[in-house]
Amino acid sequence: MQVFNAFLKISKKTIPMALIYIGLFLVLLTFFVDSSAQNNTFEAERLSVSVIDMDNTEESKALINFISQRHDLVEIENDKDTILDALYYERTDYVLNIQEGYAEKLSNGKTNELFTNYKIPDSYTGVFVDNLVNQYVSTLSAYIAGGNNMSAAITKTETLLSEETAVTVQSFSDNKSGTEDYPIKTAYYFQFMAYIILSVLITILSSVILKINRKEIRSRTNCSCLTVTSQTAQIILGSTVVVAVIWVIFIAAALIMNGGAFTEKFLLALLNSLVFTIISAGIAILIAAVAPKSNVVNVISNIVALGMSFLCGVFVDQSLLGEGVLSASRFLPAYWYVRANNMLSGMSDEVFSINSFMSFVGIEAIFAAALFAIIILINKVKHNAQ
Amino acid sequence: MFLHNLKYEFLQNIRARSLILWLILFPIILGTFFKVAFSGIYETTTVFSTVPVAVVEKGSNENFRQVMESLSEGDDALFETYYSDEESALKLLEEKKVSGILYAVDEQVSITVVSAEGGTSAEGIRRTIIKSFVEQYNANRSIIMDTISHSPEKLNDVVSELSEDMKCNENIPLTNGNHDNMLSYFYNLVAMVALLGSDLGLGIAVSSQGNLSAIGARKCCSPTRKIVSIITSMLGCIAVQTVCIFFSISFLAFVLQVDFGAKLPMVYLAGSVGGVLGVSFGFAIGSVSKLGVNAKGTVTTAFTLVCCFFSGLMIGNMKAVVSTYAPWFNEINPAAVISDSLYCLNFYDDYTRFTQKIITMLVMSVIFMLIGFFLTRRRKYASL
Repeated sequence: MQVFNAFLKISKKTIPMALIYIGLFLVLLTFFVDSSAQNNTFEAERLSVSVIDMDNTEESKALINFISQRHDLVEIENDKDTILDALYYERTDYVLNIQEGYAEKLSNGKTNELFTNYKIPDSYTGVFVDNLVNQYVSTLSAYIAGGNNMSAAITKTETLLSEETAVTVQSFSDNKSGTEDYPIKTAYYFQFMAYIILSVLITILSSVILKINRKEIRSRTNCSCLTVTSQTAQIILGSTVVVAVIWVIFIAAALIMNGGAFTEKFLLALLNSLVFTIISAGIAILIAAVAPKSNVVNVISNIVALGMSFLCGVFVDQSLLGEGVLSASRFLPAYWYVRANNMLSGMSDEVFSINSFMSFVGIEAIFAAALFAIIILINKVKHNAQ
Repeated sequence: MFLHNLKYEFLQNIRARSLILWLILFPIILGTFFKVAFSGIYETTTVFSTVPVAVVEKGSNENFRQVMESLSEGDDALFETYYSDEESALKLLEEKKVSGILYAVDEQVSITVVSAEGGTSAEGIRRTIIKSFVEQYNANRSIIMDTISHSPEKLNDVVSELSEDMKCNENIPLTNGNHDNMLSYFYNLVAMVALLGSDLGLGIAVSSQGNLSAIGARKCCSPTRKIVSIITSMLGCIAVQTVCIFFSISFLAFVLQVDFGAKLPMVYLAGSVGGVLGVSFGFAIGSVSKLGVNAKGTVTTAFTLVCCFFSGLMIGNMKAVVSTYAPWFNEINPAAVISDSLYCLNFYDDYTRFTQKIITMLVMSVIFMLIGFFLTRRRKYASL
């Protein structure tokens, strides 16, 4: 077990570095979870609208009140750059500027040039708020034309437009995103863990393996009586210990997030993440086997972890990625990990069934097996070459 | 001496091919992934296209049909309408071919939409557009009924107000730039390439410290002044990093056809200054304390990732979240400053904000360089 012992010795030296890395990523993970969970529970129908009131009359205030019942009002400075930033970063969806003389024009029966607006051109949100404002003005001016005075017209408009049309909601599956035994936050935690575990393992594990593969150490090991298979097996065993420790740290954090409850779905998520962690370890070992230098590992780690995460729907929901992308990402393990996790939480349209969940995990296991077969093969070839 | 050193710095950098190769491959591979993964997201989630609806009619609905037809015609049609029976309408809804079903029973209209769980926010808005259309239709209907029963002589005025084409709300275009918010991922990719230059900068510090590398030990015993040797290293690395940045931006702009706006030469400038920032940052971290090479590498990579994370590399609207809670952080986060400078180029017609960002980058670079200089000067080794 000399190789195994050497492996652990080297690993011990990387503990401070590993702790910095893991700590940082745990912080990122909480940010990830918070901002995504917010996005998901956000009611799409309620937009953020900013109103700049240049008229400042009873009538304009009535309009603002009308908008505020339907959308969230976001205060904004009347400054072009601020508005542009706010629109681009989606802090507000629409900026309505009520022009001076709004009330006067309305009472004279004129509806031209009452407002100006800023919006993302040709966007749904823009069309939506445009329609709302048009609807309000059109109804109001119709009431005025019908002989009502201004305040009566405003009251009637408000009453009429707040009559909600009954909407029948047809449900084709009883899927709900986030359930009590697997809340949406935990689901997002596991989703992002795919990226984090991959980057952490590539960085930490690869650097240990690169050290143990340094020319002097390698040559010394090779001239011993240990077989290549035994060496590889010991390295894999050593990696298992390191990986297990890292996995347990992340799972402990997940457990805290889940309120300490080992529910059935949580256990399934654990299984899914365990298999994916094994895959990540395989990828890390593979990179260490082919990477020339430790500083290059950092760049490769970014390419592999970020690339796979983007293509497989870790950062951007799978439902948003095109069919073409998804059919290509089927050949990557993270796709199956995310798909299984989405099904578990009901974030996708797929209805949860234990059989298909297990088949996804099974596909991941096949990836893992293939990776380790390649690793053993490469090590054999390298050894023979030496 | 200066030129001699500079020459060997160049040679040394060019010969350390693997890192440079990966620095160039990084944006090529990730940029391609981004392009593939994001193509169409902006179009499907943000840009308005007609809302597909199914209409199921019972009884006589002459007026409703007229309204639907007028709304389904022309280039700026609101709806794409399918008339069908209930069963096939439900099927269309299930297959997501339509966003909702309108039931018209003797001019009374009601709606069926699919369960609101899941789906994109654009779908939610489409549902709401349908709903508000029906509300408007029913509202107009009741205004007309109301007028008929109370003051029928004014019916014509009311109808003409209701059917008037609204010109009350004029849109003011804010910019000629590209609005696709997926662009921010590419901005951050450029920022990340620039900050990955910290790996090169780290090399400067490592190769000047006797305890970290053989070449550092050799340099320590040479009579060349340390400042000369470090400045030449710095220039060498900046040159290499600039080449990498130029390559990345060219690849993104010309091969992947990412639309950086009309001021492409300035994009190169911003990227290059960002590269200087990355190199000097790596130099500063490399000079801090007596950490090993690997530990320093991890710190720079982790720092780069954290900066890029908060600038929105992984989640597009992260910068907006940061600006709500800690706006100052966006001003000092190197990745955010670099990506903001590209954003300013695309969106603003004048260069005021762009210049501010470039100055911020330069000031940060100078600070990092000074930190590096002060930490590496006069470092002596009794024995190596």
